Amino acid sequence: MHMDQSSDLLSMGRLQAGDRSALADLYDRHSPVMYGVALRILQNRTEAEDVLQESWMQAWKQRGSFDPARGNVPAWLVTIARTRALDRRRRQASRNRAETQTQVDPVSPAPTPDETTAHGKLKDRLVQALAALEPKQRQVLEIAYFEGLSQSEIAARLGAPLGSVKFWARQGLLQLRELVPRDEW
Amino acid sequence: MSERPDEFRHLCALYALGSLDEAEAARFEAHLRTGCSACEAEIAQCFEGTYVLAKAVASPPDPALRARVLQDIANAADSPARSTSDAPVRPRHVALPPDPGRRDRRIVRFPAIVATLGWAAAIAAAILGAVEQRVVRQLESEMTALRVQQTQLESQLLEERRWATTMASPAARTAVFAPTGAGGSNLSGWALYDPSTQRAIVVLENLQLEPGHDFELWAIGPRGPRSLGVIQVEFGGRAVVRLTRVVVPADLAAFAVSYEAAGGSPNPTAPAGPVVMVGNL
Repeated sequence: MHMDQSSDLLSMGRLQAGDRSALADLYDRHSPVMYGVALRILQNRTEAEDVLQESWMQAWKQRGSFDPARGNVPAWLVTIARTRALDRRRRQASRNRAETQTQVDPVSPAPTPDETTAHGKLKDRLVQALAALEPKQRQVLEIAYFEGLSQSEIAARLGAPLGSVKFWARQGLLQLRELVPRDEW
Repeated sequence: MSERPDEFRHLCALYALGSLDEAEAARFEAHLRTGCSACEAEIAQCFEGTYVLAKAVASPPDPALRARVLQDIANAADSPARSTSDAPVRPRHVALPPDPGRRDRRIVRFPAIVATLGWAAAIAAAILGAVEQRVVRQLESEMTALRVQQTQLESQLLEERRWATTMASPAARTAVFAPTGAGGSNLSGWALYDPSTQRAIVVLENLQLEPGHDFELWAIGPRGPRSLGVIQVEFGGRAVVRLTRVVVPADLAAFAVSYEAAGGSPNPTAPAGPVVMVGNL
């Protein structure tokens, strides 16, 4: 088992037993990804920080619901942050629609530039992996993941058949996983 | 391997992305409840794909936020606890101080002695209670960690069984690596690829690595090479690589190994260094 995965599971076990000190370890390991996702979705630092703060509180309160047999710790934490950020974005969008017809930021083909070089090498690899996807695959994944649109909404946005959206999503995700195996996370 | 309709196979990714329309999500979840292991496995793989997507936009938050988050949780954890299990222990069996209005000395003095003894017992009980609580917490923590480890070991065992199935699969295709001449002449290896599970095992020998370099494994299909990642070389120049979801079965024609600068080729669809070994399937 990968060292980080073992550390995550042990920290999660401690957390589930009520040991708050485990939280600091998990925070240090996973906050950059949680915050990065929230920032990408909301395009606003203050909002993304709020989401990060709320997400950790939710993770603490719902720590008992984490089941190691059904998912890994990073995915569980990122799902919490992403869901909260998307909810916030939808609330903002409905407010904005009431005022203007302003569109949310268009999806860019390249990810947001990193602000540190600490994980530069891995980051390069991830960016390369994204760049290696077919443009439609990348577009579908980014719209689905960072904008939270449904398959029908994606198909309408891209003017593509639903079947193609399903195909691109599947090929894209499996290819990403192949290009950056879990051992390299 | 369990059969599943194609329609569900194509829904796993959108399910992992949370992008299925409501009706389709309900239909897919009903299918999952039938225990389709193929879909469950694919959803897990797709979740890993979404995590790659998330990791690509990672960005460190303001360092000051860390203290705020931890403090918030400490406050939240403390406040409900005080009203329940962590509340100061009040000795329930100790008599309350006697009513000063009562004049019967026996009644007044006897409870006073009981109260004195009671308080001592209460303090002892409180200390024991605190120690007991800490031990219980520690044991709970260890038990949870062990439970987590057990689940992981079971999962590893299942994975090993899958690999054993791959090795024994009658549909498996094999490849023997031959040196191209661009690297050492004693380079060797073999690969076994099972199209039914899309899993492959690659074993390479005599990989001599110089500092600042890596060997990189490639899958060669009709559309050209695709990186399968940098190879972790063990002591003695041996490497064992296990691969899952190796492209589309009909596409895979060969495996190849290239010799790259550390970290591998910057282009995941073309080696930058010389190809030193090829194994045709």
